[in-house]
Amino acid sequence: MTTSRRQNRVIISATCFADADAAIAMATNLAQKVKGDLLGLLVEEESILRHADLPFSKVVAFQSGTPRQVTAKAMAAAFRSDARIFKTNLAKMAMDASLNWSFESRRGQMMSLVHAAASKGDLILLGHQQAPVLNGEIVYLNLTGDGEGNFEELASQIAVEMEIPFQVISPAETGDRQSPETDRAITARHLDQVLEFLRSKSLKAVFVALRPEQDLDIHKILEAARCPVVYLVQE
Amino acid sequence: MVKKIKAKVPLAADQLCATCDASMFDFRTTRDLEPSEGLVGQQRALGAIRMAAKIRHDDFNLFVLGNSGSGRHTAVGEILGQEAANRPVPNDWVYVNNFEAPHKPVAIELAPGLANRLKMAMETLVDDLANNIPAIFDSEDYQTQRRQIDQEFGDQNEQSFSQLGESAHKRNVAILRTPMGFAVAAMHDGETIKPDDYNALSKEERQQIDNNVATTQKELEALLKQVPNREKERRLSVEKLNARMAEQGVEDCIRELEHEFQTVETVAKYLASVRADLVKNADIFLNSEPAHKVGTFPVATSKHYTKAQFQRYAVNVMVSNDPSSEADAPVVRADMPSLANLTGRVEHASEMGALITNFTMIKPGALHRANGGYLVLDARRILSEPFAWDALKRCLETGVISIVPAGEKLGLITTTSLEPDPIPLNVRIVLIGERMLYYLLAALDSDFQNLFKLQADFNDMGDRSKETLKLHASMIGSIARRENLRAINAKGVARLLQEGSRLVDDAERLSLNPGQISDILREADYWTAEAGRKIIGPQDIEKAIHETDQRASRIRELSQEAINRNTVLIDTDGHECGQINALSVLQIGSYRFGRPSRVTARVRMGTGKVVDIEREVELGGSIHSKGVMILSSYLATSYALDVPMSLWASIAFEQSYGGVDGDSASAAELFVLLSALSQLPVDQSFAVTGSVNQRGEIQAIGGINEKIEGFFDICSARGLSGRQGILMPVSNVKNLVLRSRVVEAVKKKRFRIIAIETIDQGIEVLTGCKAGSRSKKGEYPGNSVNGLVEARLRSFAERRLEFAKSAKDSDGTKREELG
Repeated sequence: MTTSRRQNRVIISATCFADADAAIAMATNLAQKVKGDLLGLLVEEESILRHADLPFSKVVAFQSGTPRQVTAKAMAAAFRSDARIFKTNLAKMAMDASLNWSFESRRGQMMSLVHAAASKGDLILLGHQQAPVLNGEIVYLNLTGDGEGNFEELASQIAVEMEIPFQVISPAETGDRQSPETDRAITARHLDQVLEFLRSKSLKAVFVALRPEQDLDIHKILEAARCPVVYLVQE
Repeated sequence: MVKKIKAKVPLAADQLCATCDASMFDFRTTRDLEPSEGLVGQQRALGAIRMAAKIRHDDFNLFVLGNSGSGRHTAVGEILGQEAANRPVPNDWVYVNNFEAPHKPVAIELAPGLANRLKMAMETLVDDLANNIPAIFDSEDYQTQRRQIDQEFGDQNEQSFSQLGESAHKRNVAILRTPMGFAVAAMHDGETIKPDDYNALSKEERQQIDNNVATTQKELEALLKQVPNREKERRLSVEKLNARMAEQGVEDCIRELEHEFQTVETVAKYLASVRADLVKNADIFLNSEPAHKVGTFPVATSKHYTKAQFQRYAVNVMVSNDPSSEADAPVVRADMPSLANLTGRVEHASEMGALITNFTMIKPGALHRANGGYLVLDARRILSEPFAWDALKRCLETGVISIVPAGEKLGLITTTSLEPDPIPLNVRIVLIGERMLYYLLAALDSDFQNLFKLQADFNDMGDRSKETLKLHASMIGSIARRENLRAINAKGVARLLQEGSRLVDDAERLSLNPGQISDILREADYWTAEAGRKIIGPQDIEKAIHETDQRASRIRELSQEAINRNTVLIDTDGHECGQINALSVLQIGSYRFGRPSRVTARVRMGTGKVVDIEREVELGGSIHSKGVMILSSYLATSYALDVPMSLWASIAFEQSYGGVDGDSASAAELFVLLSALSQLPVDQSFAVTGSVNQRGEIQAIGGINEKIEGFFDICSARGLSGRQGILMPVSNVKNLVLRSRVVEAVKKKRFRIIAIETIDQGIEVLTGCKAGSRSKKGEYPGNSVNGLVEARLRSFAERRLEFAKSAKDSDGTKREELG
């Protein structure tokens, strides 16, 4: 990503309000910086609904760790409730920041729905509720191998505003030197090392720089980093 | 000294006025005189004040009695000031916060001058801490240690979640994030297993999946339950770190302060509690706003100690005394001794609709300021202020100053207020007031005599001798200097001293009221200036006296005008039977004047009753009634003792509608009664004043000068005949300080003033007939006044007996009893 183009939207996506809530403030900040609109997308993840349909399915409360039975019907109702709260909070943050906003709730597989909703130039922000991390940092994961660009600068600004450390990571720093020619895909070995690296850090957010042709399961980044992940839709 | 008086002989002019001979003075003007020391003639009172100033016992407080203008306040101030200079400066007192019980502020006693030092030292401490503690918590050292704690905690959580994630992955289980919490889902071909796929599995496979899910779920539950505990541990670690850093910061700042006050045990104890509280509440220094900046740089000094959160470390200085060697013990004069001004008060502020207070809002009262010294109060003022007198007594009895608001005493304030440590009280109270207040307190307040064992009773008048006249002359000179007046020449001083006798109605005494003398002198100074002179002389004193009289004399002039225009009937010549001029004094405000009144008497046969018409219509006071009863008794016991008293008489003050009291007209009433009985006319050229006793002796009365002058002015307005005059008691001659117009008239024999001792002497002057004395046979001479009176009374008795007999004869029954 070397050219600066006008960003259209900042899309906040999550499978529950708790994850979305962790990202709304950052999303608003990003939208103000890139002069974009806000789109909230609550994904009624199919895998979750499938699980809820199983006879042994249970859920464990986020804070207390208390388990309880769950049904598909109850889960669907919980999705609808989270959608309402997500929409309300998004609207308030957007109006306070004088930003245009919209909201959708869709059922399906999160990454598919996100990419279907996104257009070229949109910033995707995948929400993730964080464990209590007091001293996190922002990591800019530069998988393109290119030099500093606008996206990196954006990540750096966020870190400065949050008064937290900012680190730029290239694949070579994760332990393996990449070949001078950029691979079309991130190899499994590279990805494992990146994920290992992310799991070892206390992070506030991860900004991922990808080339359009690079095929990376961002969801794995999300699971490893356990914090909001931001990436730019190239095409 | 007035020479011996001869009754019935007109007094000489030199007996009428206490003139002062200026030749006795050896100065030209008062500028030549040394300033007088203290008050003249007040040894008793001054001695009492000195004793009160020096005696150490708590209950020997002082009440200073006397009239206004007697110099009480000045004398008290001077004597107390002198003694205060010999007393040590009392200690300072402060209130500080009680960290364990904020509603019970702690009182600390400090050496003089230390209170403000402690206050400033604490303010400096707060400012230092407000700057240092944030710096400590911003320091790299703290940040590093803090990050370590947070990192450790974060790492524990991260590691746990990471391990859980790995375990789950190994068991082919995914942890999903759902709206209802975490869900542990079995995976199949990279996706969560569908129900159909699950059901299609073998029992063992399903069992395996169930076990994996259950195990992972349990691990997740255990992990989530650990998070709050870890957070608590992290918080405790941070608190310990904060306490350690704060303690270091506090230690650096407070060390010097503790060293400065190490010898004062109470302060050392307080600073120890301050230290502990600072460490415990170091975060309030972190919440303080950053220092203001002007341009690039912060303002060098920021008064952090003024901020609300640091009030807990303030020092409330209640009393601060000057520690220098020139300082004295306090002499405090409380001019408005309300409860709050006397004992102090606890103020409140309104915050969000509630009343709040703290130890900084305790305000000192006069008792605090006077502690260790003297407190001078006006008796009337403190007795007029609600609860103030009771509070003063309570403080004196308990020996401590306790602040109790008026609202609490009335039960109006029920909000929690402060209970500050009471401050020990060591003070001498001096109350200054009128005699009446002292006597009322002594009679009605059982605590008063126990707490105020000393009284300083200021004399109103003193001896008039050559020595005292000279002392008074010095005092007059001092007054002139103090009031920045012109000097007075010797004759002016003499005239003023003469007036000093007039002020007390006594030729043998002088007024000891410097206030009255000062008033005349200041007005005389004005008239001197108006006349363009530089020295006050007797004419200026005379002018001042005259003008003072003139300004207040409107009512007197109206009264005289009524007489002069015959609206009020007063004869000043001729003779009338049963009619006499009596004299009375009217007082309006501070102005007195005399006025003649016509008294008449009528007699007839009766049952022995003398009717006092004034009393009958309730215009006569009790003393007047007593006088009439006494003269009635004189009549009844002096004449016709062998027959029943068969007189009916009435006595009236003609044209008097405002009420009369006093017995100064009882002699005149008896004279007019004797005139009516004897049918001998009374010379209307005279006016009579004096009271009479049952033995017919003429007794002294008050206001003699005004009375004489009042009748003189009437006669003078009509033209003095040379016959007019006054009959007055011999015992009042010493009180004569008449105005020059009367003295001159007497000198020219145009007016007479005759002193008498008995009724007989007076009736002889008034009727021109002998009074008569009883012979050996017990009879009065027939043509004497007494003889005629007795004959008349006998005739009444005989006629009454005849009447009784004829009434009985006519219908055979007894119609009356002879009493």
